[in-house]
This record gives sequence, C-alpha cells and structure tokens, in this order.
Amino acid sequence: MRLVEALISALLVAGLYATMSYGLALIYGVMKIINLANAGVMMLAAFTTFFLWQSFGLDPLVSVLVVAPLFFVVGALIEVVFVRRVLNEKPVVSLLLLFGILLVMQAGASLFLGGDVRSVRPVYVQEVIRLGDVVIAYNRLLVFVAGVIILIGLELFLRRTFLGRAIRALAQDRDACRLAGIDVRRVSMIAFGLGTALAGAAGALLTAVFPFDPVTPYGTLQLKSFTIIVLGGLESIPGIAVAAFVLAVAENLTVTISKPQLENLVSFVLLVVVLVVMPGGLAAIIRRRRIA
Amino acid sequence: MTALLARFPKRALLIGQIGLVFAVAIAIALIPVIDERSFNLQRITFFLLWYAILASSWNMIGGYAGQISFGHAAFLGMGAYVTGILWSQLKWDPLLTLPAAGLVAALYAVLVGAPTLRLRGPYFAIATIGVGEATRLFFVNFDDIFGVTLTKGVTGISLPTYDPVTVHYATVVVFVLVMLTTMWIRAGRFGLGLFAINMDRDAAETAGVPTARLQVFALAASAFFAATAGSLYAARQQFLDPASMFGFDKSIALVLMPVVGGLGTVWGPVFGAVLYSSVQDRISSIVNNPYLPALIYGVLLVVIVMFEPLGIAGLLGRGTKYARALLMPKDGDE
Amino acid sequence: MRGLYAVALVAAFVIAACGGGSGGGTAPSSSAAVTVNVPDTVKLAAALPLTGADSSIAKIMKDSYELFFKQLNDAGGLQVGSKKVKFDLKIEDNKGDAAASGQLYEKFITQDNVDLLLGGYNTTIVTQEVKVANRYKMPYVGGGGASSSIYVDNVWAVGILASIEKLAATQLDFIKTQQDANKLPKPLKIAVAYENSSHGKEFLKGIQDGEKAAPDRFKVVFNETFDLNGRDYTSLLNKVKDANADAYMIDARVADYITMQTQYKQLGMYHQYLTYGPRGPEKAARDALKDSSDYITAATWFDSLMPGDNVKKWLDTFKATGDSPEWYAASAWECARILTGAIQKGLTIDKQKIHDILFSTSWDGSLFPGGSIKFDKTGQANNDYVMTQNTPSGNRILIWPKDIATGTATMPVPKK
Repeated sequence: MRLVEALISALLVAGLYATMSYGLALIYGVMKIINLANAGVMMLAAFTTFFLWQSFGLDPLVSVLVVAPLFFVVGALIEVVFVRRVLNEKPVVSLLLLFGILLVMQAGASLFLGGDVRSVRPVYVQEVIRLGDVVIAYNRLLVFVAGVIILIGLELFLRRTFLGRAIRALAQDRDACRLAGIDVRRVSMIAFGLGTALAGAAGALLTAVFPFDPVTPYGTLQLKSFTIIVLGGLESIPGIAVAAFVLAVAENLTVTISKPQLENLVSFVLLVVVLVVMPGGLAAIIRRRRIA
Repeated sequence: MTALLARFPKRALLIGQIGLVFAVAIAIALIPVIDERSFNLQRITFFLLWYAILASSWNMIGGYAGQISFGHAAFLGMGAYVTGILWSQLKWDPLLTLPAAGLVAALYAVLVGAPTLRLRGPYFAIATIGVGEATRLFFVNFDDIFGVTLTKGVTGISLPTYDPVTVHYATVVVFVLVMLTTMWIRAGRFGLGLFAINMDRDAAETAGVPTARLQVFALAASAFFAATAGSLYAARQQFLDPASMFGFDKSIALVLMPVVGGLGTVWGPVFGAVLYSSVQDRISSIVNNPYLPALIYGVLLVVIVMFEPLGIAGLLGRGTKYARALLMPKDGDE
Repeated sequence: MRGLYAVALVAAFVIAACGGGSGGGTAPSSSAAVTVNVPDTVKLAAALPLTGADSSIAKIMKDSYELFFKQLNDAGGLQVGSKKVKFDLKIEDNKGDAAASGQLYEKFITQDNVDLLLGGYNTTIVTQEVKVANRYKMPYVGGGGASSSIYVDNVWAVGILASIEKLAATQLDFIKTQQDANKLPKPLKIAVAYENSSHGKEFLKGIQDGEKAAPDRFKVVFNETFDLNGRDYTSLLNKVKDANADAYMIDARVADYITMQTQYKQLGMYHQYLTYGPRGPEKAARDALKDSSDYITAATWFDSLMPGDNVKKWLDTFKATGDSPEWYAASAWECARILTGAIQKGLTIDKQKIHDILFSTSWDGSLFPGGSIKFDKTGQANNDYVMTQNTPSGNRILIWPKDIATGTATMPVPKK
C-alpha cells in the first residue's frame, strides 16, 4: 500500500514538474537557447495569480486563462527586443542575456512587491480525496489534471495546426524552413511567447500547492525542471512528461529508502549524470532503439 | 624609455601591469601598518580584494575558456569548509590550510570538469547549476550521511578568533598571486590555447590543441583560487554556514562581477569587483533596500551583453590603442 | 595612454575606499572628570531578516524595537544621571543571510560608528552576528537565538532566550503530569522531526535526555531531520505515520510549521499530543491554518496571557503597533529595555563597563516568566518556559506552569 501511495504521489508531483518544464523545452527546441528567465516568468505569474486571488478571489486554476496569454505577450516582447539580437552569437551570450533578465525580474519583484513569502490558499486547500486506504490531496489532483490538459493541448497544437507544425519544423532545420517560405522570425517570436506562456501557466498552477517568494520561487523545484528537460531530451514534449515521472519516482524512492533530505540531492546528481552519459535524454535512447 | 616601449610593447605593458598590481597590493597592505585603528578601511579593502580574487578566478574558466559556470560558489564554499574543518577539528592555523583547501577544490573541479567540460553549447552551464546545488546539499547533509559531526549542517561551523590583520596581509598575497596567474595565462601558450578553444573548438582540436586537458586545467586553477578566497573568508569571519557559502546568490555574484567588468580581460574582473563592493556598501545604505543593487546589476548585465560584451574594460578600452591592447583579450594583430 | 586606465583603476579603488575615511576606532566622548559619560544621542543598530522566510517575525521585532525607542525619545529621552539621552536606532535588512548580516554588523561598527548593538533573529544568523560583536569587543543584547551553540567562545554578547534543551524538557515535564492524570499513555511513544540545525538537534537531545532519565515514561520511536524551507513534507509525514507514535513533536520555523501542518491534515494524520516546539499560537499561522492548528501545544519564552503588571503595561503600550503581541515582540522589547537599563545604571556607554553591568545585574521587572532575567557566564539567560495550547476559534489557553494556567489542557487531542 505504501508503494501504491508512493507511486500515486510521484504521479501527481510529476504532473507539476512536467508543467514547469514544457516551456523550457519548447524554447530550446526551436531556438536552441536555454531560457534562464523561465524561473522569473513563473515567479511573476505566481505573483499575478496571487494578486488576482487576493483582489477578486479568482481561483488559481482559473487564473491560468488570464495569466497564460498575458505572459505570451511578455515573452514575445522579450524575444523581439532582446533575444533576437543575440541569436546568432555564441550560446554563452543568450545564456547571459536571459540570466540578466532573470535577475532584473527577481530584483524588481523583490523591490516593488516585497521579498516576503506569499501563499495562495484557495478554499479547497486542505480537502482530500480518499480511495480506500490512499489519501490524495485535492489541490494536487486538480493541478495534475490541469497539467494533463495542457500536455494534450500542446501536443495537439504542435501536431495538428499549421503554426504548430511550423514550430516543429523550425526546431528541426531552420534553413530548410526559410526555403519552405516560413516566416522564421515570426514563428520564433511565437514559439518564445508560447514558451513563456507555458511557464506562466505553471507559475499560476503551482501557487495552488506551494508558497513562493521572489528570489527562490519554489525553492529547488525550479532547478529540477532543468533535470527533467535534460532527462527527457530537450526537444520532446512527451519525453518531458515521462522524464518528470522518472524523476518523481526516483526522488520518492530515495526518500522512502533513506533520508528525506537527500530528495533534492538526487535530482541534481541525476542532472549531471544524464548530461554526461545521455546528452540526448530518454528521447534519444528511444529514437536510437527505433532506428536500430 | 619610449623607444623601449615601442620596441617591446608587449613586454613593457606586461611589466607595467605587474608593477601596478604590486603597487596596489603594497598600498593596501600598508593600511593597517599606517593606522592600526582604520577598521573601516581595512574592512572595505579586504572585501574589495576578496571579490577581485573571486572574480578573477571565475574569469579563468568563464572568460578565458568561455565556459560559463553558474555554480562557482561550490568551490568557494568548499575552500571555506576545508579550512573551517581543518582549523576547528585538527587545530591547523587557518592560513596554512590555504593550499590544502585550494587543492581539494581543484581536485573536485577535475572530478566534475572532466566529464562535463566535453559538453557543448549551454549544457555545461546547466550542469554547473546542478553541481552548485548538489555541493550545497552535500555539505548540508554531510554529517547525517556519514554519521559524523563535521560540517554541522545548517547551523554552521563556529570558528576560533584569529588576527584579522594577518588575514588582511594574506589576502593581499593571494590577490597578487591571482593577478599574476591571470596575466601569465593571457600572455602565454595556455591562454592562447584556451582562446582558440573558445573561438572554435573543432578547429582547435584539428590544430592539435589538447582541448579537454586545457579546459579542465583552467577549471582547476579557477577552483583553486576561488577556494583560497573561501579560506580567507573563514579565517576572517569565523563563521560558516552552507546557505551563505554555497548559496546560489553567491554564484550569481561570481558571474556578475567578471561579466560586467569585462569577460576575458585581465583587469575586467577587478573593475567588476570594485563596482560590486562599492555598490553593495553605498547604495543599500542610502536606500535601505538590499534589492536595489541587484536590480542595477541585472540591468547592467543585460545592457552589457547586448551592447558592450567586454564590459567596463571594453568601455575604457575604446579610449586608446594602448588601453585597448592592455584591456582587451588577444586579437589577430598582436 | 596607459595612464588612462591606470588612473581609472586607481580612481576606482580610491572612490570605493572613500568611505573609509570616516571610519576608525569608536571612542566614547568626554573626559574623565564628568560624571555622566554618555553623548546626547546614543547610536544603536540591528539587522533583521525583513525579507525572506522569517520576514513576518522580523517585522514584529522591528516594530517592537522602534516602538520602545520612539516612546523613550518622545518622553524626552532616557534619564541617565542628570541628563536626558536620546536614541538613534538603525535597522537594516539582511535578507535572512548570515554572511550578509555579519557584514552589516561590521559596517555598523566601523562605518556607521554605532555605540552598542541590538540582536537579530534566527540562530544561524545570530551566531554570525555574535562573532562580529566579539571580534570588535562590542556589547550585543539579543533575543532572537536560543541555541547554546551561539554562546561558544562568547564574551561580549548576551541573549535572553533560554536554551532549546530546556524547551524540550519543559514539555516533557508537562507530559508527565498528564500521564499521572491518566490522560496520556505511559510510556508515551514519541515521533520526533527536527529541522536540520543546532536548534533542531538540541530539541531532539532534550527529548532523548528525558527518555534516558525516565524510560518508563518516554520512548522515542522515530526521529529524523528535515531541511528548512521545504515545500513538500509528504514523504517525511508518511514515515511518521508508519511509526505509529502517540505523540508527534517537531522543531521547525513558522513557515515550515504552516506547510507541514497543512500536509499533515491532508494526509489525515492524528496524534494524541502534537507540538511544533516553540511554534503554535502565531497569528499568521492561526490565520492560515484555521482549525487545522487547534489543540497544538507550544512552549514559548513569553505569552501575552501571562499574568502580572509588567505584562499588562507592556500589552497596553504594544497595542499601538497593531501587531500581534507574540513572544518575538516581547523579546525585542526586553533587549531594548535591558540595554538602556545598563546605560542608565552605569552612566556610561563605555563598552567594558556596559559588558560588566550586563553580566552582573539581575534584570528585574521583566516580561519573561519569573519576572527577572540573569545571564549566566556564557551570556545566555535561563528563564522558564510557558506552555500554551490552541483552542477552537483562533483562541488559546496557558497550560503551564500550573500556577499561572488559564485553563485545563485538552489531552489527548480530540479525534475529529
């Protein structure tokens, strides 16, 4: 029974982890840059959700519908004004640029919104659902379901719509896209905006479950998303979902077998190991199998 | 004199810079001698040199080798803790532990760097975030993992008293060593090799440059000096805790200083350190908000990345030919 | 031409070091012939974690310090001998970082030239601050750190909070009375979770010492540490659930208490005795947790339900800030009172004399239990704790010591 509970707990947490990581993966896939400002966007989205909840009583899950489009626009602006100029330079440059933007977001939020820890506590924050012996937190379940909806929506978008396919094409071969007549600049901007919209959605959802502050939003959860996209293969959305589950299970097992403090250590050791041993992540391994 | 300058411009500039380092070092070293009670000046200059040491050491891997490290606090903290433990448990004199601390960090760098420096693009940078965090967690949980009382977890290590003036002198010495090392790297074949790797790794490899070995060595040297800075901190502040020593905000500062000051230049990190420590001191007092400096750095970073990649050194260097030769990294016609 | 950058570099160094000119040794004013050796305005400073996880606590302490000195200054100042002395208090934000706080205190001493120091909050940070105070031989009066590890090698700092081991021991003493009244089982199986710090470790030790002394009464069936500022305690809580203990005793900070208790209730857990060490009745927690925090027991250094004129007078004064009068506020107030009392007693701000007075005096008229604070030779005070239990609708009662209790504890915790 403990095992079942652990697996379910891992599944729910995986939903959260995956939601955080889609945006990062998308942007990397299309533009080959790591959006370090992902954490900052999530944090700002969390604050927006908090203020919406505080002023209008808007439920965080509903806020997603407001927050995601808002941060789509923010992301598109960032792409046009800043990122576009450094796309042709060494990867280091875009890394530092987005890092600088992250710092501005964090410092700005601390300065103008205060560095305190905030918490959104919707009405159902302590409700639980019982399936026999297993207890499931209601808010986590909702966030998980939202995560699944987003996953499905994203995959449908990428596979069924022209824009989505254009984005995937751009991820595969930029020059070929130009030849095919795709407006590379516009699609890039949209992809980046979509990435930040996803980050924004993640930020809104996570407020329903965890407290947050400007400087370390969700503590080490943020850095875990890096582990996930690396594990899942930076360019595959379903890979992310699977990777998130793998990470969650690994963490849960470590904690159950040994000490709870090692939980975060696991993710980072995994990150470094995966980067070194399997740079393509799980998706690469699966692809290799298919070819072979 | 000018003839000499014209005949051996590189040599003359190098000697001039070395001279400047010594001049600054001696000036700062004399402060406690001249006025024993100049505590404030001693405090300011200690942290100035300390930041300069850290920024310059980061520059060895981030600037010269072109591999951005977002987890450098790992080495800083490691040095601090090695010193802290050797001092509190084995009663070694803290300043004598400096080489040991540096060596431990350098070995750790080799361990971590050998597999990760092979990674392309931004992967190394991401890996360093992981390394930084993992090191912090490791030190926080060390005692519980191994069942000993060594790092004392979150509470931190409390250290005995030590003469801050001695630490002051030691800091000056380390500063001189770091600057000389930086200049040696830039002037020599090692730097040339790093520069080549930075430009185009594949081409460098084809040309026979031992890319892996050079990069690992750069990381090790960088870690060595960052660790010594940690040791100096331990000797002076007498207290270490993992959140302060390994914190991500320290890693951020270590990136900010050299990048804003001038990535890949000799004096850039020093400028960055001067800027950082003076902003810390002045602005937070005036405004009584500790986040305004952070906002300023963030904006500076964005501006610099977009417009003047060589930071403050670049801005100053636009002035004259000699200044350019001094401050900028090597270009084709040297 | 080389001069250009050389000048720039040197200029930069000079500008940065510019503020050093005003620094230097801090010497008390006036000559030996005058009886009162105190300037017209005494400068004090403290650093607090005004942003970050402990910000709500830090704000309460800041408000308390400021209220004390505002009142004093408004009344014309402190009467020191024949003159009235005003106070200039500076409080800065250390963002909850110990290294930053150490550097701030050093700046206070060498650059801002303060005369004496007031303490900050949370054991790790206070330990660093005390090091700085000792290095510069500057008196420091603090009420934000309780771990004895703060006072190792300490000469110049005093702290008014009693040790954490005593906190644990006090709770065990209370439990003994409940066992004798057949309200709690004997032996009591205890699960302990403690924060990964000296604070937490001392809490565990206090409980383990109690177990050793009376193994027929207490049995620690589970103990494990957890990281501070955690977001997810479900794995730890599941282990506690499996331990099947009667009592669950945790040592945590307020933010972690709120997070953990939320998840505790989500998992549908129950224990006959539940405590978060010194945490429990905080208004912020009660507002967030509502009835999930009912019946939680706590042992603190002060509670506004305590009887006595000192307490009543202070409560009336403190209403002005609008904050909740929690122990942090009382603690900050006491520090200010004791520090100014030392100046008043010694007619001086000479550091050595203030130090001697702080250590040798019994500070009566105190808000703390017992009404008097006396520092031992390491600098730590050793007052008794009071215990409270949360009751429904956001209320609470004092349950210990017996003679000041305002109600009978509900033991065991009622099953919902």
